[in-house]
Amino acid sequence: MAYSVQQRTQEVGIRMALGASPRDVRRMMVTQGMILAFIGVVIGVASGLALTRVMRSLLFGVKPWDPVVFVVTAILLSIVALFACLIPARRASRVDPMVALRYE
Amino acid sequence: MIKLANVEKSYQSGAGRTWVLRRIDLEINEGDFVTIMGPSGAGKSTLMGIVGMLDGDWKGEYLLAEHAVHRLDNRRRVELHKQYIGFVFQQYHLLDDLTVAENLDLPLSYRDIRKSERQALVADILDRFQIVGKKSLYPNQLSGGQQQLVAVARAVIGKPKLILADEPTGSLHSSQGKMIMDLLRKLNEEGTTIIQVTHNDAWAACGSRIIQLADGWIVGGQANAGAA
Repeated sequence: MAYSVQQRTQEVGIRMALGASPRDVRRMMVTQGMILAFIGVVIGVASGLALTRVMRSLLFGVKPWDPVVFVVTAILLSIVALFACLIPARRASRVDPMVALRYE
Repeated sequence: MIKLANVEKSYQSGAGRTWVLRRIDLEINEGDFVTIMGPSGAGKSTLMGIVGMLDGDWKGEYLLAEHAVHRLDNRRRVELHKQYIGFVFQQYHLLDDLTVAENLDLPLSYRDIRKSERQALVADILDRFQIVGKKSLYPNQLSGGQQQLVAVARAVIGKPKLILADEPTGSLHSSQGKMIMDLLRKLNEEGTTIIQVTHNDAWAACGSRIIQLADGWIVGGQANAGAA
């Protein structure tokens, strides 16, 4: 996320020159990051469900279809993704637009 | 419309300070077409950034249409910027992953305008600039002149009273540059105040006043509106 935000430094400068406030920039970065995270969680849960047959013989004391595990994992990963988005988003919103516009 | 008084910008470098702008006193009336010229490093783009409220790290006084910008916090400067200012850049700075129509909609998306009204404004500007046929194209499908045309359209779609054009023809062929300058002249005739930075004497002559900057100082031209 941090690398992705850095790659978009110039875009942030352009948006600010067109009227985006720091809050608009943060909201954009977090929204786009969380969409990616949501897609990742959906793919992860689907893959996890698909792999339970394979994993069944390797598990001990844990149900392969345990919904609590899936839900808690999804929530935890989403929270981690949110923080992973927030910190670079805040940094992006503080960029100097004049410097950002010259960023290659 | 614009009054700068004793505006200065500097930054700490090593043991001393590096001055970017020194004691800038400048008045610009509504409807003026002002050209700022000077060598590289003179402070032209910095001055544009301050006037355009993209740069908040400066000292002095700046009045924009009677608003004391130097006393405003960042949030109110952003609101004032949206209300008064449109930017045109040398490198066009269109967003490559948005179509022409989406690029035109971008500044409107940061204002409190309903989507239906935004669509109408985009349609109007596409028609006015005769680029309706290009609305679904991406910037990399356009020539340099066409990209700058879209950039100028994007700058005026919010009906700003002031356009800041930082070397708008710097990346264009002469014929494309003439097209853009004719467009800026027409906008000025319709009442928009324009401040441009250029190195080209012919394009500078399109304006009504020239201000010369060197090493951060105003060294020539008419800094005060109406001065002979």
